[in-house]
Amino acid sequence: MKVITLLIKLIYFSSLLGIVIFLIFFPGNNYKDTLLDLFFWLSAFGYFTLVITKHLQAKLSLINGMGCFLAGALIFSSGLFRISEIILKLGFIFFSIGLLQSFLNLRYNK
Amino acid sequence: MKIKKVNRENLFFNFLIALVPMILVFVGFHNGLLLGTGESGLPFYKLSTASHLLNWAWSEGSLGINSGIIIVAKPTFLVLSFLEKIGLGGYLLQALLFYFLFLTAGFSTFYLSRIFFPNLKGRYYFLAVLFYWFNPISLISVWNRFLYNFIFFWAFLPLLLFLLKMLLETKKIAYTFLLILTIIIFSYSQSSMPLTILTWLVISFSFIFEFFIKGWRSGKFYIFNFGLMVILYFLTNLWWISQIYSFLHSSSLAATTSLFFTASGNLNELTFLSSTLGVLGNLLRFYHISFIESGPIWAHIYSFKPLILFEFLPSAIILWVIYKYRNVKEVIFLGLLFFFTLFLMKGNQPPLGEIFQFVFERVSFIQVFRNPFEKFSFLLPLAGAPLFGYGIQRLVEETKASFLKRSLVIISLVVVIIFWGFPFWTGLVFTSTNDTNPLLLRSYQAEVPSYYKQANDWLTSQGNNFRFISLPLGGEGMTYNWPKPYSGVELSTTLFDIPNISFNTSVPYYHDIAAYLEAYLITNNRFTDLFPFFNVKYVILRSDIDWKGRGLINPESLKKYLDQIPSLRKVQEFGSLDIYQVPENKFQDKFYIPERNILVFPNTSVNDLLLQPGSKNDAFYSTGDKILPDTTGDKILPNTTKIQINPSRVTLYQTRQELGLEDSLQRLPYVRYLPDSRLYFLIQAKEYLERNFLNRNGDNFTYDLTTLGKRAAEIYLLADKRKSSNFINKTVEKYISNLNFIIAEYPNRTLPPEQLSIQLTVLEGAKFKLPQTQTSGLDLAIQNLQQYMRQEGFATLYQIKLSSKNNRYWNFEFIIPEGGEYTLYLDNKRINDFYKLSSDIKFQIDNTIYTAHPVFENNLIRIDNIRLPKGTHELSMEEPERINLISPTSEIILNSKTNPKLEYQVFPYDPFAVYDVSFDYWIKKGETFHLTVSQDTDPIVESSDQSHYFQNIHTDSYNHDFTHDEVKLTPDNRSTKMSIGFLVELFNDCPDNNSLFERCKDPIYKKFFDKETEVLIKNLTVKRVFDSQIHLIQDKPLPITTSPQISYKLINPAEYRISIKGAKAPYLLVFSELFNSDWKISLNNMALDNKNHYLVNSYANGWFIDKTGDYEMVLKFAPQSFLEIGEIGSVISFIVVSLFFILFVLKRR
Repeated sequence: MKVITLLIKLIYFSSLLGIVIFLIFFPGNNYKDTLLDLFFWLSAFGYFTLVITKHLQAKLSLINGMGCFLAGALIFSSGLFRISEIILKLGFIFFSIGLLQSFLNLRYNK
Repeated sequence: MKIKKVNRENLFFNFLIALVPMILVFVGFHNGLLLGTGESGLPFYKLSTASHLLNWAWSEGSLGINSGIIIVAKPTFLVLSFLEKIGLGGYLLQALLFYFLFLTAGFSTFYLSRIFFPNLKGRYYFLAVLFYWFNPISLISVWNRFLYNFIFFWAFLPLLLFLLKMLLETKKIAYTFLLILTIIIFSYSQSSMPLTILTWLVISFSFIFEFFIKGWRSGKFYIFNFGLMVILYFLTNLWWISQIYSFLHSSSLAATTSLFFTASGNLNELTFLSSTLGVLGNLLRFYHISFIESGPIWAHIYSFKPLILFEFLPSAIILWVIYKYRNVKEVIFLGLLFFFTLFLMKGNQPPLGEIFQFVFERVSFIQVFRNPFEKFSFLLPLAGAPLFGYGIQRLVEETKASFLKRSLVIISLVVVIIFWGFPFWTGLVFTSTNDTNPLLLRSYQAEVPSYYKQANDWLTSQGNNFRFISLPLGGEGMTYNWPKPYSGVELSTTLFDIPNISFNTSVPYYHDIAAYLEAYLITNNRFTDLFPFFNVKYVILRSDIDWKGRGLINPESLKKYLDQIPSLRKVQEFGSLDIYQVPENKFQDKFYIPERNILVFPNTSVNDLLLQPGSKNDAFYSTGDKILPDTTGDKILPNTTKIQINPSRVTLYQTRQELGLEDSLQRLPYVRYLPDSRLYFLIQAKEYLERNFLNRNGDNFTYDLTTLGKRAAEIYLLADKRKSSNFINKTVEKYISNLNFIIAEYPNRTLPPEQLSIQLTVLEGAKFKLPQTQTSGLDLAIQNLQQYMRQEGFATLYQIKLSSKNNRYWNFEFIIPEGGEYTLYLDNKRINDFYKLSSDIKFQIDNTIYTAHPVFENNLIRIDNIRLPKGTHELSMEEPERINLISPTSEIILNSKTNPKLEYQVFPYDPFAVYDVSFDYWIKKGETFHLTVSQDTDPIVESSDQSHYFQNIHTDSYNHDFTHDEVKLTPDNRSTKMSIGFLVELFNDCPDNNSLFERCKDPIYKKFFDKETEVLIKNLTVKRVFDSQIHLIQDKPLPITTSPQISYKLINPAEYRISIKGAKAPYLLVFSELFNSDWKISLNNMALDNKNHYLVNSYANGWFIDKTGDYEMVLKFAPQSFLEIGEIGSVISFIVVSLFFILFVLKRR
């Protein structure tokens, strides 16, 4: 079981890393948008899995979101719009999940 | 004591909320001028006219149109026109309205913030108000956009949420009634489907949130109140909901959607707008980036790089509050609304944009949100404003150093009041880019010159039973060069009380007329012969418009054409308006009974009205699908003096070399696993993923075409290998559904004939491999394919026996409803200028070849005595040799440094023709060059003429020799000159244009990579595309009976009483308003059957009345009855709701 989990994690992180490397070093390809989509879906599912399995608190998600937002805003103001957009989008995912967690906490008084 | 202090503070800020809008309104209206632009027009110029147009279900504007959902503004305009009547000026009313809306938004946001976060100081609530007033969405999407329904909705939203919150918190049912009453007051905000949906989105979101938090304990109250709200909303808004219901079931909706909108078009638009406007870096600054970058000059300050970090400050505060106070219910509510709005605003952009697209593609009414930024953005400041005020107070409280506290508040105030607010304080919010020079501003302040009033008074003094045409005639937009100019929607409907044809728009039937009126003036000396059919008495030539900027014909040129028409007489001149009158014999009343009925089969077009000389007492009626070939005879109306058959299909057929079966098979995609294979499901999965995942921009045409070829190959291989008929039938079914899908999905694309021909050969080959009993499915597939090929001109019904040098044939298909002798007419369209004609014309009808000596007559080529039996026939003609319309040198060399641009004038030139441009090119150096088309009507954009057509042509990475290219050109039919040219620009290979680092955006850095481009062009030809129309006409004896006398009384634009005297035989009654199946005529309270309702004169209504004697009839637009019932229902519901509200308030006290 451990081997399978490890294998899934390995595939997951190498996919994420692979996409990032591909995006940085192979500009102008036809699959760029699709790969970015894939990257965000993987990030969303990956983080969501972490939230469920590790019982991560809403605070952590929102801190991550806030961090991404601040970093994204800083990078945006320096003119690197594409990188900042990716970071802001990750922030969007973290904030959305964090807010859902807070909402559920409120409902079930956790 | 503390309470008193708080109240006093609140009072002070309430005073500020009343004062600030006063200042803003003063800035906008201090010189006493009206504001108007865009789609809103200038309704405050004459509110009684605007109100009159909204009073009935049918409006007389243009050729008439059903009012539809815009009737929702009726109460608003009734109140405003009443205030105008008692003496308040238009600009004063507009200023008062804007003040009222600002005030509503301000007070609502103040109290909304207070109910969400009760313990704040008044100044922070006021900060929330400032945020709501001045944020860039309010600035750009609301006030600068200047749509009244958007402004109403913007003011109404915080009030809606406030009342909802009060209802859900206090659980007092009185708030439900109050909310419903408020919706009526702000009913104008419901005048667009997306805004209605947004209203209900906010209501549903609030209820669901509370329901989820409170659970079933309070569930009954929420469900009851939500249900009550739905019912009361429906009842109190019945007057306009009834119109939507009618519109959804009317013929005009079906015609409009099928003509002007497609699902794939909507998806492409969504994808484009999402990728442009849905960038999170801009959304979190509340920015509409297209406006910031290419809007008025003052908007450019928002893209000033050193300020960008400050622009994130409001969002940073909002997000900080969400993070810090994540356990506060109100914060979660507003936070969820904020992020949900962000998710909607970014459309189908990642992350998770696929969810949006999934819903968008499947739920058709969601497609009204194809510009998600514009529509959803209202909710962002709604959620953000209270969080912003709350956030500032909390930050101040948590900051210990007083300097920091002060700085934070001051910076926030500076960002909101000065940085965001300066366009409001200076009046710049009511300005946009000047059309001719982007560095200049165009104010929304406009003043209509007094001669418009004089002209209107004179026209109204001439009666009320006619229309006029305004020239030049353009699209929906117009720029008037008045001393205080106006640019926006064309204003003739507001400026004149008389119905007029003054602009073109996408209304079925009307569009085809308005688009060609000027064309007939320029090219046809029988222009005025059209007037009786359109109930037109005057032509107004206006020279106070920016014709160049709007791409219109020069009024001076039009004046020359008008002056040349002997029957037109200039009768009046008011300022820049010249009024021409048509003689009495060219004027026809709105209702008339024609002396001669001409059946045009299957459909009429405006072109038919001028085909042959006629009189004002003619009527061209069409039966559409009412006449089927085998039931025709008895459906032709009794007084029909002529039958004109228009072709049901017109194509240019080119014979091609057909490939054999083996060659065809080799050109289809390779098939490894057949449908009977166990692994075939993997192929299907791969295709599904490839199509939906890799091509997310909605344009899968090439992929779908390849898949279709693959299905054809599979069918052949299955048949060849004698596989089970079950698999073959399933694959054939899939082939047919794929083919139909491609045809429906890409209505503007043509499937390549070579591909179709290959597939046809393969399918026919497969048919021979199968036993005769199993070929029915395949026969159907072949039939479908052949039918499509015939429609597109890739195949003919009968084999062509004629022999043409260029293998090109004009091919027409006719359905003859009544057999007999016909005369064939071919539209001349200056045929001698564009073709080299021979004296004899050879043509083929079905399988027989004929030779005829044509007669040239009235712009037509006539061939007599063609006998045709009833049924479907095909007529083919050799296409005469086409003349090259330009004379270029044999080979052209273009060089980006020495000779970057070349142009050739097309001569002779017909603006109504389509042209084939063909050339060979070789890009010797560089990567790309441009084909340009210039016309004398090209609009001026950024101080220079914008080419009518501009196409980039790229180098072929494989072929390094001459390459052939062909382009089809449709010119602007208002132009009189056209030139075709080429343009080469410097090649630039700046290396990191597509990477994450964007250095190449720096023009100085980019210039280092400039290199020379050189292109060789030869064999340049421009030839007219075949577009001649052919008609078959059969003359019938004139009727003996005389037409009865007719008179009518206008009750209102949606209802008439018609009096008939002396009807001795059945007749056709023509009503010259836009055709709509909802116009119902009744006799003795009995409505006439719909089958007697005909499309007449290509746009109007006609009824076949089979009753003799003297009698009266009532003509009514059916939705008017719904409107009357709806109005009664709404008024009663409004009174009942008001009584309930008073009752509940009194009871509580």
